[in-house]
Amino acid sequence: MRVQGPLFRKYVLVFVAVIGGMLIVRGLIELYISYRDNKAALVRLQKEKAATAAVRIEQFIREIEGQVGWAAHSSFMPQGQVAEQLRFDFLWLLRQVPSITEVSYLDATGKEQLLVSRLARDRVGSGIDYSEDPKFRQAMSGRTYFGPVYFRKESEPYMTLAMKWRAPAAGVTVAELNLKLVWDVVTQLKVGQQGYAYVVDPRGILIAHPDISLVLQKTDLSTLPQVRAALAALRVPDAGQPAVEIGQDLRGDSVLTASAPIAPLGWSVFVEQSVREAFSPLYASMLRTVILLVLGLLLAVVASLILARNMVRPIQALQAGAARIGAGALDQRIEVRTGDELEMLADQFNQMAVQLKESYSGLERKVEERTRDLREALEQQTATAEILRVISSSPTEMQPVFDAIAKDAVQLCGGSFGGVVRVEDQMMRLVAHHNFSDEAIRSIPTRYPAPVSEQSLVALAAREGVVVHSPDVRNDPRGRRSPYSAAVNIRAQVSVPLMREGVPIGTINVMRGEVGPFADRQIELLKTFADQAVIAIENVRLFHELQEKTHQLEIASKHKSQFLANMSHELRTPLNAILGYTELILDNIYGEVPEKVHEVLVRLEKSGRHLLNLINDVLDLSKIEAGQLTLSLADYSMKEVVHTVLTGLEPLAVEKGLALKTDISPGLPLGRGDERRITQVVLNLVGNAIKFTEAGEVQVQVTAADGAFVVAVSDTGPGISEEDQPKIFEEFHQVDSSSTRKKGGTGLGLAITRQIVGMHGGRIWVESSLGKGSTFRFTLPVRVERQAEVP
Amino acid sequence: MRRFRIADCRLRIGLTAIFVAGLTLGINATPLAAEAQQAGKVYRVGFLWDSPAVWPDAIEGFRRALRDLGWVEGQNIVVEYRWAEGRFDRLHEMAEELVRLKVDVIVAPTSIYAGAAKRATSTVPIVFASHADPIGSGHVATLARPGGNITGVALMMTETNAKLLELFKEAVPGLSRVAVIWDPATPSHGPGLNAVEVMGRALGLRIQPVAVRSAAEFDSAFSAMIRERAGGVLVLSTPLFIGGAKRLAELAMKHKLPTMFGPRAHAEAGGLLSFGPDRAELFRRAATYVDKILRGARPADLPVEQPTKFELIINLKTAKALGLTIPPSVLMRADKVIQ
Repeated sequence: MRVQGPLFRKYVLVFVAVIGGMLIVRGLIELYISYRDNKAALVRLQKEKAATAAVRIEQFIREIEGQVGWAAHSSFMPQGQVAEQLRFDFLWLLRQVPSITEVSYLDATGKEQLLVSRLARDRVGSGIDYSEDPKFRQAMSGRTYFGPVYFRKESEPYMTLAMKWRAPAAGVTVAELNLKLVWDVVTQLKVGQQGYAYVVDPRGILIAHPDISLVLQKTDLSTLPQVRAALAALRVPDAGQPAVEIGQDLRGDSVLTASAPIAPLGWSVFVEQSVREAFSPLYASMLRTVILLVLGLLLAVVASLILARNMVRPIQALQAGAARIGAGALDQRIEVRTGDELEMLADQFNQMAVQLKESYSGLERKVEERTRDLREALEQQTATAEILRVISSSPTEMQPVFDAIAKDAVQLCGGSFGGVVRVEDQMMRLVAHHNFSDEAIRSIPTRYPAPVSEQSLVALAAREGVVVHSPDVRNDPRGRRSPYSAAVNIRAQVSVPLMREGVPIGTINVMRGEVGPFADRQIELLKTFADQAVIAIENVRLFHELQEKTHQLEIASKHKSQFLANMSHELRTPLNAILGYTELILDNIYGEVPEKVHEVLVRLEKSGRHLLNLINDVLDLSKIEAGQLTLSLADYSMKEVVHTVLTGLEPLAVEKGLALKTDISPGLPLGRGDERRITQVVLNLVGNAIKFTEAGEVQVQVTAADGAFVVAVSDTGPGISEEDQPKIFEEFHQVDSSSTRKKGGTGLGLAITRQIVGMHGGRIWVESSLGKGSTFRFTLPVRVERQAEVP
Repeated sequence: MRRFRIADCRLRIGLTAIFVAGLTLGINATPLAAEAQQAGKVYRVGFLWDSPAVWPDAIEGFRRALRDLGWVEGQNIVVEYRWAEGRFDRLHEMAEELVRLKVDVIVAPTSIYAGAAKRATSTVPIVFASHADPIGSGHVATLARPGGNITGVALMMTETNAKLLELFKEAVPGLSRVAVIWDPATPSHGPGLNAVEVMGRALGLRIQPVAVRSAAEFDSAFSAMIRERAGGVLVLSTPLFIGGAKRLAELAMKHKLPTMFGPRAHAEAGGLLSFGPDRAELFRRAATYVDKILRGARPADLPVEQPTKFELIINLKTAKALGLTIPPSVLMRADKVIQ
């Protein structure tokens, strides 16, 4: 069960407080009134009983008095001697009044003349003088004497009663009364179950009590509050009734008490009842009231619980239901059947939940649609990207592309299986298929290749370049029944043409095993795949074309180099003959040559040499390009190489007035490489420097670091602009074509240099700016064991 | 939707209500139960007496008084009767047997039984019903506060014995020699005899004590009286003589002797006079002592009561047979006259 909330406790508390409070107040008032009435009634009753008892005791005494008086009257009074008659009278008196134990006659002088006793010996004429005794004196005064209570043998309560005879000169009758007989009167008084009456004398000594032993013990009750009050009231006449209503008994228990005086004797009768007993009906009624109160409270609690539950439960149901609705449980319905505003509130909550649910489900449906669209789009994108990836990763192969397209087309367009057909030379061939059964795969050769002209859905698409969509293939008149289509179990099909420049070159076919149309979106996606397939086909075709052309160009280039090498060689042979003969002529081997002829011959020889250099360069370059140049690797000394070059070129420098300096690090290691070609590189660089420098100096610096020589050739020439710097290492290029003509040279030098350095595994670059001179620097591995490939 | 388990909840509330109500009632019921349990105890009262035949009306009076006080035999009280049947040598043994039975109170009506019981125990309360002289025999300290484990109703027999003699003399004019039958085994008879002798001297009578220890001595006792020319017989009270009331009356009649007794049984059995308290009344009073003791009172605090009513019984049939005329002053005193 759910823990009850504060509202429940609040309701229960309020209900219990209201109902219980009313019950308690009512019960207390009732109890108080009941107590008051009860007590008053009891006290009244006891007072009546006490009064009755007092009257009865008084009557008892008065009766004895009367009897004694009668005995005194009736007797003849003889002078000086006891008459037999008196004795009879006294015996009669004893007979009549059992409580008289002894009776005696005192004559007028107070002398005892006769004593008749029940137990003791009778006395006649004893003459004992009682003339001073109060009993005689008072009796003689004419008033009946009631003596104080005394005890015989310490335990028997007695009282003396004395009366004067009426006759003149007569004496007094004295009777000893055993007061135990008053006990009869007292014991007959019944007050409730345990109530009792008792009598005390003016001193508070117990005279009569239902428990005779208390009397026999001469119990003094003057300490009890009610006795004290009653005795005080007796001493003061007209004081009215004593006020004490609740007193104590000898055990100290509370008693409800009432008293009445016995006037002639000065005694008091008390009627008492223990408070517990006196109020026992009251207690019973109190108990009843309390039980009723408790039952009422319990009822109140139960009623409060039920009422509070009934009030709180729908509220809790509302709260719990609203909380659950709030937490999103829109199927939640709050069940409150109270038929009041709470039920209406619950119904409104329920309506709210229904409306919320409706709007939520609308939203959810839309989100679902969007999500599906997005997912499809993503799948299509992914598929497209996948196909593009396949296309890019296999530029030369179409098969992976076709496979991927077949697979994705089937998967993304809701097909059971499918394939890609290509049209070449008016024949259709199945180039890829997906999800074909083994039987279908075996039946492929019975279907393809097939002519485009046949009547079939595929052929229609391939022929006409249109999308052919057949939701029910077997009932489509455009279709064609074949063992293949049966084996593959085609029931619905869509074929999308692959169009290249408006010409169909194939189809993508997606099929299903059951009848039903394909969605437009799926057909659109197939068109995308078709475009991609076309791109792939085109890519591969173009790639093959490019490859073919490159191959042809390479062959042509090789032929050209071969030709140039051959040509150069063939050109050099006659040119060498020309130059040889010219030298021979200039050396006058064939006779003295005239001055004019000599000059022509010198110019001839010079031009010849230039042509030879040119041819050599072309030869070298073409050899390199034709891959025919090979390095002959051997040990060499870089220092020697530089010296050789400078020695050869020094005349040229001197001629132009240039300083030629070297800075060669000592202890250069022994290099390995093609010495002749390295010499050619250095010669070319220094030669160029001298050639292009009009004034200043040319310096060659050689160092070795990290297993490589670094050779720098610096000049103070015109410098090279930054934009020209990359170009100077290309064939047939000089910074300024005019300078080539002026300075001479083939324009192939730096190209050859770059190739040679590269073949050694080194690198060459230039550091220069216009007007600041130039520094050509190249690195060369110290030990070159293998010829490097130069791009 | 989760259903609230209302039925379950209601059941719980109901159980709680019943529990609370039960608790409330249970608190109130507890003292009642305790009281009932105490009341359920069965008390045992030992009753030591001569014979069911001696004073059957007194025994019956005792039982009825107990019943009137709420003690029903076999229900909340068991009375163990032990009858001596004249065998006073067995008294002590029987008293000890009652003590062994762990009785709550022993009723030993007269001085001889009370003496036996007192010798047997100083703790078990003892109640006498017509003790001749509890002070003279030393059984109680004072009448108002007995002080020991013994109390009850006394007879004042010593005093009444003297009055007996006075009344005897008055009833039988010309009486001069009075034989007094007494039992030396009865503790109160010694002081009683003394009182009679003192009174005899005062009245001018010759007292002739005749000790009788058993019923077998009755005949020889009367023979002795005749030899001594006794004019009347005064019989002190003791169960031995009460048991032999008929025989004593017959012997007295046979020997033409007027008789004076204490208990009225003698007069009813044919004796001439009896003067004494009503034994049945005394036994009824004794029952109130048993009641108080069973309800928790201590015997030491219960004062000894004395009879207030003394009955003079005159058997006029016997008087006629003896040829006696009872004077009017004696008749005047008579409470009962047997014609």
